Amino acid sequence: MDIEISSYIVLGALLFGIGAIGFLVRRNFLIQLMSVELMLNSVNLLLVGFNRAHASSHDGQVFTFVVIAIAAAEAALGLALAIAYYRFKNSAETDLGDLLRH
Amino acid sequence: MNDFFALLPLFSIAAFGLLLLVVEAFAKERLDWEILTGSIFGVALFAAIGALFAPVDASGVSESITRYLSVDRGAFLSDALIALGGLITALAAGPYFKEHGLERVEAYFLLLFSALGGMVFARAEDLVTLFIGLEMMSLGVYALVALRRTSARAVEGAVKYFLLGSFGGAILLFGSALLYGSAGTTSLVGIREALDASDVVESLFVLGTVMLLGGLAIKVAAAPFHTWAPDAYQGAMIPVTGFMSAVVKTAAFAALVRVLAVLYVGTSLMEPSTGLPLLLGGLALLSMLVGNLGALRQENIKRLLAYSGVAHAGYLLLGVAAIFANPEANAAAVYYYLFTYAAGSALVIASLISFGSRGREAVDVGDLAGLGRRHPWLAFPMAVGMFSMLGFPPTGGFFGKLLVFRGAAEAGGIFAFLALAAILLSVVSAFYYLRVVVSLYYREPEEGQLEAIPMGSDASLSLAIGLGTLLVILLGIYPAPLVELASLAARGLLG
Amino acid sequence: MGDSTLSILLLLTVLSPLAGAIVSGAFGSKLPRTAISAVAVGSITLSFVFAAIAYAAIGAGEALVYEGYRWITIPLSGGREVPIEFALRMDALSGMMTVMVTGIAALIHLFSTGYMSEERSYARYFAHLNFFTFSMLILVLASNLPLLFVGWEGVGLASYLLIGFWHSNLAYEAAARKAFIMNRIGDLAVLVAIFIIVQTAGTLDFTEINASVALFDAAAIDGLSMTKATLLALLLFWGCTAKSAQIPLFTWLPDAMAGPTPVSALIHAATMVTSGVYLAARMSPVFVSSSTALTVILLVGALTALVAGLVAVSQNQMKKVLAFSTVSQLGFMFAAIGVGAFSAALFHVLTHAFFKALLFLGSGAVMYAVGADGDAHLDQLGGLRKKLTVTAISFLIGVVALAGIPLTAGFFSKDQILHAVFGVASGEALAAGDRAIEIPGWAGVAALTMLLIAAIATAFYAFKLYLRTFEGEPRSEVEPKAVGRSMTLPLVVLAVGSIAAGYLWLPVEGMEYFAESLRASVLDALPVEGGGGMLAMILGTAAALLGLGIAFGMYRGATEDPLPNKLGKANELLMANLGIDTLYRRVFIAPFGAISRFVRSFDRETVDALFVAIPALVARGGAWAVTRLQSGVVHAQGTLIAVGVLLLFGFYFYPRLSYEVIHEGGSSAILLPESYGTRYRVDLDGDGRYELGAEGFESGPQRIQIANAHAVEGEYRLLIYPADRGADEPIEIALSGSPTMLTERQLGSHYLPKGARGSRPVVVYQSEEGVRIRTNLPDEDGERTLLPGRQTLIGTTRLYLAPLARVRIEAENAFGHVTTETAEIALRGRSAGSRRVIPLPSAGGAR
Repeated sequence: MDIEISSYIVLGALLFGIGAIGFLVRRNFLIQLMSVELMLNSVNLLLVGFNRAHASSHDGQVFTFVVIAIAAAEAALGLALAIAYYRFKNSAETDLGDLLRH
Repeated sequence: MNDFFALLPLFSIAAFGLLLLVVEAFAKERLDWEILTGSIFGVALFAAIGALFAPVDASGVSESITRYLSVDRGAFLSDALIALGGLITALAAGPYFKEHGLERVEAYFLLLFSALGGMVFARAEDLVTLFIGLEMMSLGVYALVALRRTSARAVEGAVKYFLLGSFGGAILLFGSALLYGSAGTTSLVGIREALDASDVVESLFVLGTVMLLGGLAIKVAAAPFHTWAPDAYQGAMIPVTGFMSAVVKTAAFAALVRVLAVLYVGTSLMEPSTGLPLLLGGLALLSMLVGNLGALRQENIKRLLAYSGVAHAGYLLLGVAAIFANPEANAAAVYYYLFTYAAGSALVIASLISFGSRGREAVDVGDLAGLGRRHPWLAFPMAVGMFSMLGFPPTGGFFGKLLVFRGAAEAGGIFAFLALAAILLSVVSAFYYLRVVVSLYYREPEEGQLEAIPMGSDASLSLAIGLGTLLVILLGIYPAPLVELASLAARGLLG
Repeated sequence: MGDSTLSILLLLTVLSPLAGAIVSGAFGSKLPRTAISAVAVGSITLSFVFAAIAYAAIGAGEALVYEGYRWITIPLSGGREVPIEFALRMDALSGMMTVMVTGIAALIHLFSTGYMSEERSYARYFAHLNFFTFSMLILVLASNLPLLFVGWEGVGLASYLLIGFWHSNLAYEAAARKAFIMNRIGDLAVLVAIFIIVQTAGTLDFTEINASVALFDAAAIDGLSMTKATLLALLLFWGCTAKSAQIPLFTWLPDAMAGPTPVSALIHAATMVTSGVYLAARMSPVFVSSSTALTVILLVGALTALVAGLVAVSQNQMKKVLAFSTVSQLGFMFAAIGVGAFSAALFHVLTHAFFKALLFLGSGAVMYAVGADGDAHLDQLGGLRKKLTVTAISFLIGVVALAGIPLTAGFFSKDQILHAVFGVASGEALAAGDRAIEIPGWAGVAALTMLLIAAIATAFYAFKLYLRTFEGEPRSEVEPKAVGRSMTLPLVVLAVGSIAAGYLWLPVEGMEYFAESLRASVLDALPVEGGGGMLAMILGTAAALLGLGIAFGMYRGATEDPLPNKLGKANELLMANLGIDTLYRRVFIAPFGAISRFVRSFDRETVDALFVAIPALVARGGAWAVTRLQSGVVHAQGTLIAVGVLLLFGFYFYPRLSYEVIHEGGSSAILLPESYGTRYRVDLDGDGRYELGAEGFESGPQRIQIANAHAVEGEYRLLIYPADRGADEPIEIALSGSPTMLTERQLGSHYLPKGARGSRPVVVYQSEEGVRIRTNLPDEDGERTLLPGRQTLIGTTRLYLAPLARVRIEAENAFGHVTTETAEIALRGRSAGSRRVIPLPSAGGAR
């Protein structure tokens, strides 16, 4: 493994971590959704980076496209949910949802 | 033709589902959607069972399929499992939607394609198909939970489920990327070959393994990854709750077993004193504790089912952990348990649907008071379901537990101790399952409390309940055939 | 015999009650009451007839087997499989139980048609009762343990449903739930026993298990002296303590009296509660292969008999007295099992079924007559004999039999039990087959004492029950209703049985078949040489008469008690013979009552606290904590998930070092497993140079031999091998500069020479020339030196001085983290390699 690849890994892990922390500390639905998207994109970065090291096939790049497509579907569903949620709470703060607990 | 038969259960759902979508666009009158959907699941079930008895010759299937989706008996068993869960929930869902005025045709398509996703997930031979199957299944279920847009609880449940679910999906995906990076291929078999040849980057492989398992643990709702389940189960409509426990959980377990079997069983990662079995055993213990204790306090039966589902995930994980000791027998035990769990929870859900009528679901334990006297024909299946979940002989649940716990006991050491803990904790579960039975048979509604009024009899609901009851009892008094099928499937899975 | 036409009878015996249950359960609401009665009583009677024909057809030592279908196949590792058939098997043992269960069930069903005639849920009642009979028959006729377990759980379920039958009352429901949960606690042990049996014997069929008991002689857990047989017998007995209401799991049975009285008679007196005894008898070869387990069972049984008997004395409600009496009588049965007298226990099961069912039905008739709801208080009864003549007479017969007055059924069976226990108490040598049974004499004496006191108490409360109910002036204004024919007929039949059943045991021409075939179907422990004597019978009779006398003494003195007038001179005569009642009251009855009250409160508070309240509290706390964590806020729940993932990371962050030390072939070695991503480095002698991985870490699996040369200078471990520990791990003792005294526990006192016990036998200390051992034994030579790698004997206990190696093991994982552990390993050099038992030496000394 050359140095370039390990920097992909470090960058990917950093982005993933930022996304995860964002997801955990922010309470706004949309920002949490964006955090998840960031996590997915960090994976894309990793996949593309790894594909450089394993250039004999294009598994990683194919995987990346699949992830992009699914992330789009997820975002679409998430936005629809955000609208439905906003109608009840007049806010996108997720910790206002306390009907279901314990 | 081999290609066709290899994917017949998936094809039948995909093709008929799409056909139904077209028909829906042109249909002038209301169709019997639950019957149509149920028939599609039925066709898939038949195709899967047929393939279990007359297995497809894998060498005759083109490589473009086997690279991504497995075609062994284990694959068909998971198809059958998912189709069965889908069949009962679809049959029970129709009457529910009609009764509560929630008729939305898209629900049936979501059920169908979500189950299709589950099949892909459980069959995945490649990290890409694993992720596609997972998301296909999950996105459908998120939408199903949110389908009742007018209910604040449903939307709240869906939002929590969606956020935590996609968080989990991202973790699983990151793990997949690391595994890919460590071995240079996304094919599970390819990764295993690289592993056997010591041709993987060890640190990436270990991290990837941990995150992949973490992602799967979220989908099977094992503690401490279960936190989405109670809220999602409670927020969802009853049939969707049933779908989540009978289909989503079983598909995720089938996928977990496959990933373990293909990637890890027989490698030094499965070393019992330091490796994955210990990790899975720890998750199992935690899940059994959290699930059983959490369920003790629940009044809402949907929420109770969520916690009891966590406990069942614990029992199942114990069986999965013991796979190292006796792969074939213990994988078969897990498969058998999944069947009894799917049948039992689908039966409970169908019964729960039958208790409610227009505008008022009967989902609290107290709501069931007096039903045993007023509606013995409806109360009995519910009691049977509860006894099966509890593992009371001679219901299917008993043999599921017997096989899984015995396998763990045989594995010895810490696993024998865990089996003992599992038996003890399943005694604890008697408290909450019995509360439901007690309410059915020994309670009368208190003064001023509304009596639950069961919905009128409905052919497809009766069919669902009858099918569930029959299965649960049959799995208890004549379990031998399914045990043998499960063994064959496990043999196929382990190659 | 295997005659297929006959074996169908077994299936019919079982299915007939099931059919009855289904008919009255599913169509009960549409059928008239007479039809339900006919179906319920008819199906059981039919079942009785089938069972009786089948039982008559089998000879001693034979069995009738109905081969059903392959139920399930349990795969074991190594390609072995354990097939479990749905098969029914009737031998003399299960035959007796089947005929008894169906016969008594038929009578009780008949009684119920009268007793429950005003009940709203008539059909549901009979559906449950038929279902119970079905489950009980499955339990009794099962040819393997899992099928028995189905019946075992089935009767528990039926019992649960029937205790809570009058579900308008919440207390009844609580009683039902308590019974169910306590039974589940017992079932847990049975399940574990099933696992052990599958693992060890590779079969679950009773005949095969019993044929392979020798396999259970192996140690249950390495390093523990308990054999598998002991563990199994104790686990199964644990299951029995729940089902058969023994200490400590007996408190559910008295509460179970909340159910309708015929249910108490059938389930909680005659049949279900005896299934524990049946299970023990069924697996008698397993039980007799563990003297330890038998001793435990003997003591628990006798203690239960005593405690419950004393508690029964203070009870004032008919059914409560009878409930505690049942617990006490079950204690007698288990005491019999404890001395290996299985056939005696079963005989008592049979006679007890007759007289206890009779007593329960009799009290049911009384309650029906006076219109008592739930239970009849003795203070409101009295003088019922005139109105309920048939009931009173049959009840009296039941009381006499329960008390064990000579020539009744209860006398014969109780005598058998006392006789067997007496044998153990007097130090008779016992053997089951060719296996000697060693039950300590003190246990026999203690058990016999407890049983005799229990027998006194039994006679006392039995007569008190009768006198307070049927004699004297009525203490209530209620005019008793007439009791119908459907209720008196079963009473009369049972009364006849309560006398006649005892004679089945006598060696009368034409009757000996019953006892012989029953004895042939279990493995009894018998006195090695004859044994016998009449003393047990005399003691038992004296106890019964004493109790009877006290009862009469008590109730004659009661002011409103017209007992003297009724009985006239007979009563005075009795009193004159037995002494002065005031004396009894002061000396005997007052403390009796006090003890009884104390025991009662113990039962309620302590036992319930131990088995119900404390676990409930723990569970409640846990449940609270778990549900609190589910805060319902997304990011908090996400954090839990993230913490979970971090925990998984943590699992792999540092390498987990797992190694095994093996001693074989005269040397010690370290075994390092192959574990993914983990590499090892080992320094055997602490000199900083690595014996393994000098060039860098190496991956597993690795086996590294340790030689004595690697040991640390001047540090030793003393290894003690008591002769009875066989190949197990020795006890390891670290030696220091100051003298260490070896305790008898460490040395295994059993194997010390006589005279060495109780004194301070052995002191070990480290001196300059080596390790010195000083013994205070009369026939040993005081002090000796033990050199490293050598052994010596004290009695039959072998001491070995092992050099100590400090081995430093380092493991590195994929992330470059290193875990280090230092293992202290006592080296067992070549001389310690053989672990044969060395015979007693003529003189001590180092070799």
